[in-house]
Amino acid sequence: MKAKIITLTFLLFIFGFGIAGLVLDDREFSDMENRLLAQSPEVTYDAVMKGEFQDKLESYLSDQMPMRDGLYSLKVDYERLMMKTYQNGVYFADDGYLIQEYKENPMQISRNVQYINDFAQNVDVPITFMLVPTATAVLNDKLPAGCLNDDQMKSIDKVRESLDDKINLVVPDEKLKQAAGSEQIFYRTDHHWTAQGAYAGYEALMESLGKPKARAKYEYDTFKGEFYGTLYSKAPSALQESDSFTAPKNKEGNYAVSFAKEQENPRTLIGMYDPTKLETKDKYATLFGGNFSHFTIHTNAQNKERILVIKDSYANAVLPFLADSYATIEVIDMRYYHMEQQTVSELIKSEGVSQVVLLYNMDFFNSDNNFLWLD
Amino acid sequence: MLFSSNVFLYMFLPLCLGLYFLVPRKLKNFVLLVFSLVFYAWGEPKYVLIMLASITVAFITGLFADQKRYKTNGRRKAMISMIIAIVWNLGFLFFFKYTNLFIKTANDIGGFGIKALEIALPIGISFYSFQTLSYVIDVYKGEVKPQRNILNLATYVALFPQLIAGPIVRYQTIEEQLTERHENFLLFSQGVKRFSYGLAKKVILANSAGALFEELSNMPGSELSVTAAWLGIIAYTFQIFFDFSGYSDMAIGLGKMFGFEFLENFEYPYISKSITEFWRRWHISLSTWFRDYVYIPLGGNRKGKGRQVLNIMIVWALTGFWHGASWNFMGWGVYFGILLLLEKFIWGKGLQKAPAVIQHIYAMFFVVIGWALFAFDDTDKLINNLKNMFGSNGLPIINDMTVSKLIGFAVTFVILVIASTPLCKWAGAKIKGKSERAYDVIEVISIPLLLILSAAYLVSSSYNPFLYFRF
Repeated sequence: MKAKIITLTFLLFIFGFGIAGLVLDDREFSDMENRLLAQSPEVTYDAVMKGEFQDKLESYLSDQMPMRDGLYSLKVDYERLMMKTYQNGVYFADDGYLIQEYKENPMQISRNVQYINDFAQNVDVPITFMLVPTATAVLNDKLPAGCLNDDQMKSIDKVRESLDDKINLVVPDEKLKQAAGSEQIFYRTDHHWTAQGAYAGYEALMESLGKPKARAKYEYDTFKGEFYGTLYSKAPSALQESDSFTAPKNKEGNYAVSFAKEQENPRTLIGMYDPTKLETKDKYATLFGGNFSHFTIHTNAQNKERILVIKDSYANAVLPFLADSYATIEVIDMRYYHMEQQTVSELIKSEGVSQVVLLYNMDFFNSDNNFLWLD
Repeated sequence: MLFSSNVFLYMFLPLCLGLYFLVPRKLKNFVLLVFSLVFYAWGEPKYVLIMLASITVAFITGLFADQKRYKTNGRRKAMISMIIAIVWNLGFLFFFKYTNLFIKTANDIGGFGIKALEIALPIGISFYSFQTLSYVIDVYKGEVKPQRNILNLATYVALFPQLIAGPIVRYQTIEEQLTERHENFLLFSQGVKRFSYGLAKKVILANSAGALFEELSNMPGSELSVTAAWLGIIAYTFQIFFDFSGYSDMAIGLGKMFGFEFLENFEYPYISKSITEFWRRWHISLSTWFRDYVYIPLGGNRKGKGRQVLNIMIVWALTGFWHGASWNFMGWGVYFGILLLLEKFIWGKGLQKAPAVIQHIYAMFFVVIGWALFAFDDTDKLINNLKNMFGSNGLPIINDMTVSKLIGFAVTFVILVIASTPLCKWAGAKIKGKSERAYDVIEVISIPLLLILSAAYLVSSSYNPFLYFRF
């Protein structure tokens, strides 16, 4: 009896996964991993003799494994049970926070600072650079014992030392720490900050620009649907509490977004938000529908100055507040603004921009290599 | 192909088992052979030809090595057959495995500038050439009858469960099983149990210990500490045991599913109280092979002490060298040869009088140092690592990084230690003694749990999310 049960379990295991893998439709893309999955390999004599077919078949089976995401999350849960506090670049912190590991990349930082300094030489209008410490630095008291993160504030100090005097550096660490006392300023499962966190950033930015805030207080919409962000994708776990996506609400505001490239226009924006993204995994992309090379926000704000924001995705959560402060905001993402008709400095002249804002988080600034396009 | 791969678990094995149990008895060996050849060819298709050639040579020389077939003058002809088998097997083994090492060494010493050959090591050649070799020798010695059906002999040599990482199954162990074996639920379920434990050992335990070793051994000296150097090599100690014994478990388990019974290859080596005992418990099929086919033919201990010392050193230098084409492996073998001699002639008796704890610490200390010799084939790296371990590189005793690893791996290490000892087996026997039913339930539940968790670990090696990515 026992022998038969054990035998059957095993056969169920190997045949079950084997047959399910054959029968179930292959997935092209994994939302969870944010990448294309391996597809069924072609059998050719050459590929078999070189062993390429065999390797591809193994990745195909692994990528198309039935319950792949669930199995991975089982592995993470098991490792958490083994009291591991680190998984795939992510720490399991207190209060259900997943916090990204930070390892300083001094080469990239100094290169990026150099690109920005060079850029400042070509620009005649004032430049403000807001560099945002991420949860790794702001919520460091939540990190488990034995973390091996580098200190983001030290990286920021390095940036401050080597940055051209023309550039006004803003670091909203104090404001963020204050806000963290009463609000959730970072998503638990995503590497981004929440609307509340971004508001603290907005406050610091406006103070430094010497401008009043457009409104003293904001109300927020909390959208339905469980939000499991990018850090959850890296370390998914059945025990993980989900986030909800929030965005600021201003009934008097009037917003229109126009995209420089027709093919980039998501066409589903309502104001600054793309509600269709609320149905997808990456709910943070509700802000403007994601990241695009260049778009312009027109609003009914009092201040008619035109500003340019050069940014990463952290800025997407700040822009809704800025839109109440400036009537026209040009937004450029250097990851996608490559070899365009106008360089950024040419665009500043032609569009009559009177203030440039660089807005990046420290983790991004530490790793991105697209600043070389900044010209 | 590896047992711990998706292709093997969800394609190869279901197909092989399905077909094997569908076909009539007469075709079962044939099915096994065909699948074994596919299994072998998976990594490097052309080397199947070499294995088939070795099988053919073993078959023919085996037939002629049988002295009983000759009326007169048989001994000589049989002897010649055996010599051909030895030259063939060792020749191939040496050519494929060691030629480039010898070329490199000659160049290093004499600066001849000889070009290295473009040859890759055929998988499992170290295992199957020893098997075919011992088969012919056993036939010559009259210990087994020659196999008159080449299909059966090929099935024995190519048998995929034991083909690429052992155990070195002797022909005499499965001679009868090749033609008369009885697959049944009991044996199959024992096989499943063994296979699942082995898979979990390899995929869950060995790989996580290996990841720690990998990380620590690649760390620059400025980040290391003395404790971290020890932690790294201890992690390797666990990795190699769970990797290798896990593989043997899977081999033995798969064998059982098809009705074969192989001999045990590991018997909790890390509970040994001496190096001598360690080698009775570690890779048993290899050390007995060298005992039976090298040490004893050299005269063993029957030709005086001097000769015995020489024989032991020869055996251990060869045992070490068998493990890989690099001189550090020979050094590793010699290291154990010397330790075994010291235990035999100098401190073995004294050691036995010491408290058990001391004996365990003594044995494991030398085993762990041995793994350092084994792990680093680059001499500079080895010396540097030993210096790190013994504090002569000026490293701190401990640092933040080390504490972080110690915290992160604490529970894992406890599991590794427990799984290296017969504790679970002993606890199982206790439970069984109290309630057979409770034991059955635990066993029936543990197997699917381990299988699913292993599947999860297998998937996770390719799990690779991208944070910044578009379209």
